[in-house]
Amino acid sequence: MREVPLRLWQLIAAAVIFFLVGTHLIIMHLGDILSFFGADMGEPTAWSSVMERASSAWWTVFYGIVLAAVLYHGFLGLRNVISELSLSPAAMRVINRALIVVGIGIFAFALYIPIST
Amino acid sequence: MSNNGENQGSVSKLTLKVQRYNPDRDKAPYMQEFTLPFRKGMTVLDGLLYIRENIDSSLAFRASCRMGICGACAMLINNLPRLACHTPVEEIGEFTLEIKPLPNFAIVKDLVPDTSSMFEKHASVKPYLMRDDQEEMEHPTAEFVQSPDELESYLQFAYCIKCGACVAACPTSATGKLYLGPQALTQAYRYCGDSRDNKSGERISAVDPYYGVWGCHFAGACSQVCPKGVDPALAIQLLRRKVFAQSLGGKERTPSPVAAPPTGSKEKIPVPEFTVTQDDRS
Ligand code: SF4
Ligand code: FES
Repeated sequence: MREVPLRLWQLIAAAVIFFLVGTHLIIMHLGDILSFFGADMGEPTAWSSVMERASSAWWTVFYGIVLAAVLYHGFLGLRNVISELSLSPAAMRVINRALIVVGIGIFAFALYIPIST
Repeated sequence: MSNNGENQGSVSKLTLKVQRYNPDRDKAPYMQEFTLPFRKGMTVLDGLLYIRENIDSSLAFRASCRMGICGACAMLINNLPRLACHTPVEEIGEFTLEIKPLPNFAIVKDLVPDTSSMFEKHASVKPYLMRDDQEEMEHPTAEFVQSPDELESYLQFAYCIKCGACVAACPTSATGKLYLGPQALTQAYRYCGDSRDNKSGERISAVDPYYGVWGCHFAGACSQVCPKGVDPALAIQLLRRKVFAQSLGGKERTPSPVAAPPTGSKEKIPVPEFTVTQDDRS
């Protein structure tokens, strides 16, 4: 199997993580600095704020992309570690499929929470 | 310079602790110590040859050219992969040396590693020129044109003598049997970077699986130990760039053209007198 498309997406996922997780961290932890610049996000970790974001389509898409990028990046990294065990190509195919199923399962479950609220 | 209690100016003895192992007889490798006369300028290979000729003729090691060309005599000398013929004892600065076969290879006997896995991986990356003009490849009419800059872009990688020192030093090769390793990947780049070649796509398919070019962790040990000054770690990074470029739609280059046939006829160089001709033989 060709690896290079997977590696290209890993680089793209890394860039997405850098910007979107960066944004998430700024919103969550640098509220004082944001309000200094006139962007008052309220109390981002309060229950009401969390629920407000969870029911917003924009934030749901935002967290969906973050989740997809983090899961892809992390699971590909895990697969790279496993690949160094020098498993046979057939065994690697099984690992690939297992990681895809688990990854999609976690993605669906984690996204179900904001969508269902 | 440390000399283990002997003054280098008057050192007369060299101690070689050599790993012995005969798979037909021994359960595990063991170390055997040999003491031999030291002479100035002596290489590690000279020491091993002395042992075989004067002390123990059963000691097995591989060597051929004795001048750093054939790559046969690579072994682990004081914990570093080196060419025995190219390692003067004085350069190490110790007069008790520990010699073992190259790590990351099976042992055939004593200091002889089984390098067949390296050569199989080497062959798998298609280490030869591939071009569209098959007719010219099979029945060449002239040489392919290549500028000095084009030559320079891959020349250092062409110095590889397939000694296996880089593979022995590589931590990824140590843990992953399938990993193609620095030697094969360097040769893949050597041909992908050659302006006379235009089928790097085929080679890239061979290095792209999970046990190929992506396995490198960039430890750089390969480049540190290469006795020919090749930089395999650099070749692997350049190869990754090629693989990415190709996957993003990069086209194969137009290979360098065939040189124009020589014009006019040059005077032939006279055959030296000592040459045996067909007439002399009959
Ligand atoms: S790259 Fe250097 S160390 Fe590796 S096989 Fe070639 S000559 Fe030996
Ligand atoms: S004997 Fe040929 S490289 Fe050492």
